[in-house]
Amino acid sequence: MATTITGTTIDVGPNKLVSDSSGNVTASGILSDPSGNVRSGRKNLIINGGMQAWQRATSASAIGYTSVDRWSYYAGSSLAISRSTDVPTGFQYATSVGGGGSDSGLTQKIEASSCKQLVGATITVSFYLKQTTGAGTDKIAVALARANSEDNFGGTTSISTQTVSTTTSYARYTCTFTSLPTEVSNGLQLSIKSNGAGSVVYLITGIQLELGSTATDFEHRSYGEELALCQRYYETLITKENQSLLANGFCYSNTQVQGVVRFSVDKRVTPTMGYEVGIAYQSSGEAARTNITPLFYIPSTKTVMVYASSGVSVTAGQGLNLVNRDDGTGMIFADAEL
Amino acid sequence: MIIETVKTQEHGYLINSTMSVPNDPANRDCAAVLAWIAEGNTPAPEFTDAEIAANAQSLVNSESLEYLKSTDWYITRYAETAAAVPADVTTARAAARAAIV
Repeated sequence: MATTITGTTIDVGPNKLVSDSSGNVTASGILSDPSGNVRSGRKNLIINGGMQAWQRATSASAIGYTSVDRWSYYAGSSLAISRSTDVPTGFQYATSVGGGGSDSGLTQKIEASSCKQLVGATITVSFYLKQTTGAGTDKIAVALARANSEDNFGGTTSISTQTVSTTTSYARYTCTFTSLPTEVSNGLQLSIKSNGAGSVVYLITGIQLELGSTATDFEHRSYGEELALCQRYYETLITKENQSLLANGFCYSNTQVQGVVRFSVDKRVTPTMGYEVGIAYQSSGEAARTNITPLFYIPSTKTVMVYASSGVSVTAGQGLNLVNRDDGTGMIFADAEL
Repeated sequence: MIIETVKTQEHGYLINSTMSVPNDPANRDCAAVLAWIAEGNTPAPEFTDAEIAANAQSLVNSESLEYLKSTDWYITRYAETAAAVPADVTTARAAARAAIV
């Protein structure tokens, strides 16, 4: 039975709740929420749960970190992952996951430094999903595992798995996990994947993992914030555009060019550096670019020296730009994923 | 990552010819390489003998061209004023031309 209290002030011991004529309510003392259902600040431990950042590619047909940022993709066969604009209200993108066999889906690994608060805790995973192929009872599994040693997911131990029953329309699903083990402080792995054999295609977005037993509204972050969070783990240093500039540099010798790049965001660990196709340099006074195969010296989580000494003929000491190739096909990345 | 080739580098490994992996076990690619080595595989040296020779020749070519450029003015002076090119310069320029491959 509801109780209506009239008046503008409620005395609760030494503290008070006061309502003014505009309907604002002010509390003196500290408000607490023992059930943990009202949260503020950063509540979503998942990065890119809204599928906003796609630095690698907007579609792929290989397993691993091949497409949407921070999510590792797996399928046993018929691999197909892509960005979709078929979304629930309030979202820009979803990820379309296709595959054959069991366990086709996405996995995100949360690093240990973000998991200390999870020991013994109750968490709730929520997401929006629409399964266009293979929908039905218990067709999607939500699995938690923890790393066997800190930030090393080469070996993992299952914590718990729950299943949800899906339909061909978008719905929001929630799974609550209680009493997470002490070892979750090594790092937590969340997988959302098909449960059982057969081909599946589903769209998923709005993935959230938060403390507490209730799924609260999805925490929408700006694209810039989300991209910066993703760049701790992976960053594209030049994009596939012919005007993309990597760095200023100089001719270290007559046969070596080099430049130093400061990452946009400090990396989680000293990153792997890689490239597609290659890049080019344009030294002072030279109208044309010379294509090179880059090499990397990676001294820290903050910077990388990009250099080349094969096929280079320059004048030592001259300045230069390291740039993309004329055809814009080059790309360089830093990868510090878990 | 599927490891196809591994070469050692001064500060880590070159994987599949396109990825430089730092020698940091916290890096998951480095951990994969170390596991690959633990399975009994051996990384190749960073440069083959042919690549070392090619790099050395490239350096010789570059230094020789630089020397020729820096002494071209003797030739121009000779053409314009008939002032003789010093013999040691003539000898060194011939050696530089011969060294370029």
